[in-house]
Amino acid sequence: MKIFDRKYINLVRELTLFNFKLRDQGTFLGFIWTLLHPFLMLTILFMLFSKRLGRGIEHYEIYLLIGIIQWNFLSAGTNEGLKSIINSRSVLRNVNISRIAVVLSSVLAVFISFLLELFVLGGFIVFSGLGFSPVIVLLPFVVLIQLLLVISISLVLSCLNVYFKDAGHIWNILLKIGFFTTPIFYSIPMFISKPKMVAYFLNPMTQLMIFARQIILFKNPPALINMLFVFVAVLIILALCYLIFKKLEDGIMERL
Amino acid sequence: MMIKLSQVSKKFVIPPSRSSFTLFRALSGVINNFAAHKTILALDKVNLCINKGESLGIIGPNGSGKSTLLRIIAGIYKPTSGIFQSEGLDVSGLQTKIVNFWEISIKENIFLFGAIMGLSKKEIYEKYNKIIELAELSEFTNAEVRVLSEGMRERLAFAISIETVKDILLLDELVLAGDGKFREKCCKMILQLKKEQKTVILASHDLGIINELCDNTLLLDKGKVIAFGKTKEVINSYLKLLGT
Repeated sequence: MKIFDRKYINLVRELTLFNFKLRDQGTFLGFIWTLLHPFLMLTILFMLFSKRLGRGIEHYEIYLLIGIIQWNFLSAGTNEGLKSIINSRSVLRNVNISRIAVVLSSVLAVFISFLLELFVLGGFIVFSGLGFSPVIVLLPFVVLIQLLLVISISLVLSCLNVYFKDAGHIWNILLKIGFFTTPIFYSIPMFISKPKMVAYFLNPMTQLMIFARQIILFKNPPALINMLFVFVAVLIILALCYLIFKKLEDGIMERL
Repeated sequence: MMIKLSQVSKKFVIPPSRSSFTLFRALSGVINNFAAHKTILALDKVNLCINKGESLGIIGPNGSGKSTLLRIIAGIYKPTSGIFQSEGLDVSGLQTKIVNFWEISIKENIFLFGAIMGLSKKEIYEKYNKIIELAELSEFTNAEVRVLSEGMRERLAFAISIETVKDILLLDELVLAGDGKFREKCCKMILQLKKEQKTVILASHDLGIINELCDNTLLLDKGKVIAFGKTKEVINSYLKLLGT
């Protein structure tokens, strides 16, 4: 497959570094600026909810931070992916370059920030005295599933954004709804009606947050069958989104 | 190895404007102004055959389809109908117009375009000095491209494409910024490429440079091939077309 071609990897790497630099992260200070957002969120949500929704959740600050960082990657990654094709319009119009590489590299640039944030989270975990357990080796798998999910969504959004001017606005409203319907700053109540429960568990982000928290906070591995189920579901989403992208890509070239 | 176009047409649908075309409207079914979509036939049944090592000039008035033709050859656009073949030719990374990444340095531009052309880091390092030398930009390698003058940017893009060329070199709207010395150097390099059996395709309004570099020339007008043949004759018929 083309994706495993050395030249292709080289291209995606260079484009990713380019996008990473553009996001003002080439410098140490640039990274501090982007850290500011998740930690501001953390502080506010912690102050608001630690006595209410967070009551009964051990290490609520870590619980929150995991949710915020994961949500932040989804939100920033898909937003960069959404803009990627339009932003590279002058290049795409005049250079025969893989369009998937363009979308992929903007997502990967955000992914680098996500990984750095996870390292900072690691510092928090050590600092808070929670510590790590061997179960942490499962975390990269959760991270990978999320990366694939963000890439899938970005592939479709990048095309829609060429066709429709308001695609970005609509996506950001959906993200806002998602922020409140995903257990980022609360935990899923024990006793809720069945339809609500189904709604929670159809949200892949809910699943990914549950996995990450089980691994980091509760130090016990999530049920393998659950993880595999989410992984396969995300693979199917990825395949569908890839097909949609392939279908639309020639059309978007004419509209750029 | 050759490039072959048979009956290639390219139609563009021009939507009124992206701003009036929203997902909200599409979903709520408010779009009933499809009549406002204009179609433009940018290329109309073009037949063309370019052999390896040949140099082809493309001339014609503005809006005649020169850029569209180059983009089809580069694989950026797919023809609406007809068949385009470029067997055995590596078209990945092919560039038609002058493109720079404005926000990064000259050096980073060279490495990024090298990667786009499919070169490894090592291969780019080997070509790096040559590119800088040809572009005459050795003093500014760490400067961001956006601060360069237009002429400098053109030299940079031209130097990168000529040094990283694989099978084909495409140049759209080649202006060569008036600098006589640089222009001479470029012509020499393009002629050298031809000796190396690379295919060169130029689209330009500069008839002098077409005359100097191209064996054959294609004259387009409103997407149709008006004339194709030896450069001198085609240029003459173009001048006639302009005269009327």
